[in-house]
Amino acid sequence: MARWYRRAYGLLKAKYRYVFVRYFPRDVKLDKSEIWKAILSSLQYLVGTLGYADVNPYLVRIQKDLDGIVIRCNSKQVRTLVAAIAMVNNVGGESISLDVRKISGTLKALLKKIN
Amino acid sequence: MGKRTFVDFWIRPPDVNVAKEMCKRAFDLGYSTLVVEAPKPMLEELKSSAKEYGLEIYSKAVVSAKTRGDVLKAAAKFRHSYDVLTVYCLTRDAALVALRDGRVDTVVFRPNGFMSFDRHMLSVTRNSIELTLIDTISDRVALQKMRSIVRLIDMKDLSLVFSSCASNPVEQRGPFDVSCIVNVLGLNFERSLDALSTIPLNILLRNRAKLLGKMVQEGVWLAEG
Repeated sequence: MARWYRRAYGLLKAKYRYVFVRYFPRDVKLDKSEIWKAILSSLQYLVGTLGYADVNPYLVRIQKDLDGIVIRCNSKQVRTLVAAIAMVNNVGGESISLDVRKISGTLKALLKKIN
Repeated sequence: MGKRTFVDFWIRPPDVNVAKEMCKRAFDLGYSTLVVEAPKPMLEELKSSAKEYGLEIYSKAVVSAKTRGDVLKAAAKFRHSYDVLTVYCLTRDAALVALRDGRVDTVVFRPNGFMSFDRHMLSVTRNSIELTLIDTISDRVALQKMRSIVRLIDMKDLSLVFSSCASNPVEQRGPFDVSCIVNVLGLNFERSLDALSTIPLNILLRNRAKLLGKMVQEGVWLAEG
């Protein structure tokens, strides 16, 4: 949304957090989109549909070189997203754990940290 | 405020090799202390490998109790040989005794055992209540019960210890992730961090001091030098 539009109508700028998630053990071959689906279903179970809407999760990118994914969420609800990520224990029939490796306020800073 | 040190208050590796892997993973995740439920010879072997990672290992006895007598017997038997004594209650009677016995460190509530809390139990509670991550992740019905227990803990200012109860490295999670889960269950974030750091650390330090004879009685320490 353009800045002039927000200012004119008194709307607040949405603040986001970018979360880098990696799975363990690293030797398991997984489809990253299945990880994303598992996180969404865990989130929906944990906080329900309204909570899910508050978190507003969005898959930003799949980092193939680092075996992880970058997720964007509402900055105030980042703990809820982390909890939902930690509660995933099975993806595509494989028993895995998802670790939150880094959290940042901008995508640029996050990519700098993880690379 | 200093940096927090985190404790995984309960891991139960099936053998030494898995235990070593779990130590490595715990180090990667940011823990500095592990409390292991394992036989004594295995613990001795594990302590040397844990030193490589700078981890401290403590021993833990977990006792299932059905009656009041089971709790009292276990307290008398294990108190002086293990760093931590945890009682897993299967009935309300056992829970009532375990919650107020000074020799018991934590009382764990798990889905297969007794998992509800009432006003009477709240009023007699003296020990810390322990909940486990593995139940939160694997059992969806238990999650709802845990929510109600955590809310009571928050309301009555009781102390909570949150442990992983992991038996392999995949079941372990980082301290920040775990405290976020406790936070979502209904405890404020500072207190959920305490459930992984301050409260278990205090229990461990107090018990180690008691076992080494540095603490004569609750609150009475021997002066050195």
